[in-house]
Amino acid sequence: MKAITKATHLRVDSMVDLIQQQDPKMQQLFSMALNIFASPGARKVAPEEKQEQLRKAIEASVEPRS
Amino acid sequence: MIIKQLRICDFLTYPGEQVFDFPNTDDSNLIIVLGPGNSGKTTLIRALKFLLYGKFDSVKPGEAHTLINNHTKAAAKPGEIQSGWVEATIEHNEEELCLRRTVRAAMIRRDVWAAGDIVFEQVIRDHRRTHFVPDHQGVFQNNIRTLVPETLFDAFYFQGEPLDGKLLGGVTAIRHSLSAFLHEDQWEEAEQEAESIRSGYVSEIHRLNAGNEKYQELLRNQESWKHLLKNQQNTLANNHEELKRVQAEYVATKNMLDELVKGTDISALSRQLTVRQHDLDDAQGKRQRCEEAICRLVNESLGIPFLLSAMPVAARILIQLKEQNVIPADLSERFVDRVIEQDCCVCGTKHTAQTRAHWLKYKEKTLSVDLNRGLSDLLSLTHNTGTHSFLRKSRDLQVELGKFRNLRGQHIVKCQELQALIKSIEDQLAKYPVEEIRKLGVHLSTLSDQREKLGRDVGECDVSIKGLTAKVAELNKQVDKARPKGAAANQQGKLERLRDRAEQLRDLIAQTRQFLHGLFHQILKASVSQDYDQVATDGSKAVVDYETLMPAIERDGARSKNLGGGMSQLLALAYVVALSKLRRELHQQMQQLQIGLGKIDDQSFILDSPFDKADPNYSKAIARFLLGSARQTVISMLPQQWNLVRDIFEKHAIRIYGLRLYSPPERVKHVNRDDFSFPVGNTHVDLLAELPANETAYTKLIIIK
Repeated sequence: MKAITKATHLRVDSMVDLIQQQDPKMQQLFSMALNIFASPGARKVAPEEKQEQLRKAIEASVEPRS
Repeated sequence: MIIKQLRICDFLTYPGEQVFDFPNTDDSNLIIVLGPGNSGKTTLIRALKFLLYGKFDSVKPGEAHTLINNHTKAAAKPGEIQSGWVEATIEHNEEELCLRRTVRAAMIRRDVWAAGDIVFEQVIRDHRRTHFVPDHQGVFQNNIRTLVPETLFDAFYFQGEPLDGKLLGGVTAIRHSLSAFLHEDQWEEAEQEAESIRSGYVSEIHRLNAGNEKYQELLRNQESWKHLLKNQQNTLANNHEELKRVQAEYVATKNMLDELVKGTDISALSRQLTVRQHDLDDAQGKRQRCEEAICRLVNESLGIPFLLSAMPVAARILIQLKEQNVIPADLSERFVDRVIEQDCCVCGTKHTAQTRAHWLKYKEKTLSVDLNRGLSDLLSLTHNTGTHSFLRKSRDLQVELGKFRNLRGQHIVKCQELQALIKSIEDQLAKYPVEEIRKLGVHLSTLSDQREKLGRDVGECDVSIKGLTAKVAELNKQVDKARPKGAAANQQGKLERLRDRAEQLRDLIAQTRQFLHGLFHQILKASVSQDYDQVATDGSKAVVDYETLMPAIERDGARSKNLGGGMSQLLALAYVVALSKLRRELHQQMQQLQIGLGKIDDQSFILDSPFDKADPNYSKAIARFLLGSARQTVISMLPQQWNLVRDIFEKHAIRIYGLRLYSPPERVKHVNRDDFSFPVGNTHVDLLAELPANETAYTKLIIIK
């Protein structure tokens, strides 16, 4: 993809900073939660299925590291 | 998505096949299409809409044949099928795709056509032949609608048109597209689901401990105190956010105020004006009191001041009369006659008809022996040397009157000086937009109050949170102590960890949503201001509403979304570009976090007369802004608009097209040829050509540069 010629002055680095303050498992859980609910195909998945996926993700995030 | 080539064949005003190449390099991506009125500039946008969505707004169902060029149709014979089409080669994700939409119709008899049908196909060209793959499953159509939603296209090109330029409708649509890109509503759903799962774990913990009342009681307490703590933390976060916003607004308002007064202390001038006006009121009051004192003295003097001032004249007249041996009996009459003859009355003022009438009345009605005697006394008084009380009183009165007259004189001078000073201050203030400054001053003061109040609220929240945190920590200890032992304890511990994790996730999503909202506002505001404020000639500023993230223009404290003269176009473009950059940046950040938000596309501007109704300053600003703000910029314009922005665009344009209008002589003779002439380089390009009589007008594309 070619870059547009004007420089971009916008910065949203702090968003990453905010998430990276969390422990790694929490970061992973956050990403999974958003991928379950806020990804392009999420609307096509049934709400119960999404809730179940999130529950499993939460449970996996408190399991001791294998 | 960018368009690499647009082909139009036998479609509306375009007869035969006409090819628009839209070259795009790292150095330039600007394409200009010059065209006089009614030459087919807007038809290009409508043809694009027909290609992308199969729709053409002004064509009713069953009349698709009207899209086919009239020349083509005129050459047809009954039973023949004619067609017209629009084709575009688009680049997306560094891959090319060529799509064509064709309208076909059969001629039944002269001027009567069958309804016609429309076909959407992929076009594949190799070195030998061209293949057409019909989009039976709607795959390409679906892809196109995902890339450029029809509502967005319509909003951008058509909804804003009647108001002010053609971009306003696009702002809301673009804002919604960001919202859809971020799936804002689904973030909220994720937060709610995390809370729902957390509540489920809480219920399970309660169920597990159904028999243990003390422990249950502690858990309920723990839950309710944590809830209180959470609420307070939310309040604190909101207050912090609001404080940040108020602080930013305070700084912005202060800067605006500083900019307006440019180093001059307007408030000091205003204060000075108030003080001087007060001084003037005071001096005028004192002068008034002097006048009153003089009046009082005169009133109480029983006419002495009159006599006093009359004395020298009266004495002179009386001496003259005496020298002429005038006897006292007719002294008064002659005295009055002499007085009337003089230019001035005995009081020293110029005679008027009225004063003369008074003296005559006096002579006729009140002349008597007593008065004659009185006048004789007056005569002798003038020779008296100060023993008479009349003269003493006159002297005292004169002193007193003199004192007040002096004072009155001083106050008059002071009033004049103060009036001159006040005028000078008012002149200085007149150089500044005082009313705007006053409003900003009031706003600044309100913001300052809000800031103080929020500061106090934050402090109170902090104290409250410390207390609540201590309470929750204490309850946690008690819960740990009272926790059941053995296997139940293990299950309990696991459920609590899960509950805490769900709670942590819920809070993180909420925090991130709030954080992103604040960040968007900050970034959009900064970006829009950067592009708009410096250009605005009327002191207006671009603002972005904190709640809706929608842009507006603020002038004299009032907000408007729709201002004329090109301001709205500039604001809309700046906002659209800022959103696009924000979206791109955010996408990259999300990728770092391994969150997929969908694909990011190249920004492409295809603008139909964006300088319409814009004044020269904003037209130039919009032109400068458009350079390099998108991956592709295609702009069509009229001669007047081209003349305004030619110096900016001509050297940057990679290609300049002209839409030459071929028109019959009966129409050509009524037009102004200047409306068809475009200066390019060192020549003028004439975009009007005359057809033989009674031919139908059409448009031909020519390459100018």
